[in-house]
Amino acid sequence: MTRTEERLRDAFQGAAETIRPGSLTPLTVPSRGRARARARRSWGVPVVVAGALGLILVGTSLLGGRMSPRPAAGPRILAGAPDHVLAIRDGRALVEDGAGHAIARISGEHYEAVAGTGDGRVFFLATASGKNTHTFYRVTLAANGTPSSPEMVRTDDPVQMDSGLGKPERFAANRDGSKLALVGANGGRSEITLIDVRTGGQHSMEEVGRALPATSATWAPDNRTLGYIAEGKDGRPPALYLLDTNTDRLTPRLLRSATMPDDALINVFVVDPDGTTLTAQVQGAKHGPRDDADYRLVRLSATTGRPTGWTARLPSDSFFVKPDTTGRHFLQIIDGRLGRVDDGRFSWVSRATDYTDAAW
Amino acid sequence: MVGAMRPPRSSTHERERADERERANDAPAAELVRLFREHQLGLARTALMIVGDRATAEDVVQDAFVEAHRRIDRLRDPDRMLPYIRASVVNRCRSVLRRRKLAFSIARVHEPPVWSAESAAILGEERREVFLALQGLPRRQREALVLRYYLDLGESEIAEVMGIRGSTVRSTTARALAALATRLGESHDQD
Repeated sequence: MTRTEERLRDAFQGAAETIRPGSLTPLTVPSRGRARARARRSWGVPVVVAGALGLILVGTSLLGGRMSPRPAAGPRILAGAPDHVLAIRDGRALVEDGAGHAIARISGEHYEAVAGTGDGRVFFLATASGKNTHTFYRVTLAANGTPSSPEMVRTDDPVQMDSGLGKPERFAANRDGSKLALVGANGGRSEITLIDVRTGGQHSMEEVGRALPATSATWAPDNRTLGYIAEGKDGRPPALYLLDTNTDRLTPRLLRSATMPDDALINVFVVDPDGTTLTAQVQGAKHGPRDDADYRLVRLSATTGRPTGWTARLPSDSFFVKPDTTGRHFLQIIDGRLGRVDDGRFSWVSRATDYTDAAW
Repeated sequence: MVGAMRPPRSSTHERERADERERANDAPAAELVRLFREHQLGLARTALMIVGDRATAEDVVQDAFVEAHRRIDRLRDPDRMLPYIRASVVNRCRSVLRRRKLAFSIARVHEPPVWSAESAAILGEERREVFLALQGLPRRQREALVLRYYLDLGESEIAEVMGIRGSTVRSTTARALAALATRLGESHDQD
């Protein structure tokens, strides 16, 4: 064998090992239709056979109690929206269709948060693995929504964040799935932690001079710029920041103040998939005897931070906005209930009130 | 007129015949299940070598098995199933790569390939160098090397999967190895 052949075999082996045995998605075959069964009598009982085959194929590949009962794409509310939503409900991670119907459950429990990469396939789940420490898992959805087994993201050290990963948006994955970001508080100080998914390395930046924890983690489509909201230095009003994570020295750039005219306040924002706009959830000024306020999603220019495009009214405060890959559809969780904004119009997805996080 | 009456068949006999028919009809499905169990991983890894990213590789294999199931009534010879699925996987990989050439117009991104700079920490620089050299080869040469040196297929099997003659496999593989050695700055002499 030549040196070239040896290196070739070694390289193939190395690449092959990146797909671990047991980590692949089970196969689900579609049922054969009744008309086809009638047409081919020689199949005997084709529907039964096909059904049994489906069960065997799925069953033989199920690992760790993963459930994959009926992984067919559900009805879409609007054309062009993603087929699947990965939702965290009562500590369980579920794959749902766009109308709130469960398609499959991902094995494991006590999930806290989910972050999508934006392609509708690769998601990261977060669990609390100890006091203030978190563990992350990567899950890939097949085209029909069938989830892979959760694959643990190995990190050099336990990942700590005292403030947890709840809303408003403290956990985000970049679009190529190579980096995770946690924003919040650690040791009583505002902190941003970056995790390199491939190497397990961590890089943390303490936000000196900020009393309140950072929130609203969002990645730009360049896979390197992280957006977040943090209190200004020395108690100044909160602002939207952008941070280039590919430089050794992490120096955030101020984008705009989180306050808007008429005392409105940006609670949470995301960088839209095209990178030219942001979508922000804005709380209007409080008024009336019960401190009522109006809530809306507003599109802002990523360059100037000024409003541009549509505004969608929300029924209440969500502290939550998750875009799809087109930037036309957004998930909302309001009082534990899942809703969505499609092309600037809000609608409820489910009557259930146990949603803690969701992504698509 | 009273015609001759056929003797009634016993229900046991009918049941046996029905069972026999069912077993015959089940056999290809059972074989497909076995192939899936035994070859899903190997085929996904093979697809990974060609398309570069795991998610696409997994999809390609899924689609190949779903298609095989759809056509199972035409795949009654169990010995033909694996070559059919292998060929289907390779063909689907080709389609993926063709579609990616148009990706700029679709703006659909896929995961970085296993040989990308981001993956260097996992794969190692030396292996990555081999993959980068491999990417410089024509598509047919790459496929031949993957089938020969990863799947360890023989000449006739590679010919079947790629839809070319055995002699073409031989010459394609030889040219591919020589080109790869040159790209890697190595001598291609046999040891």
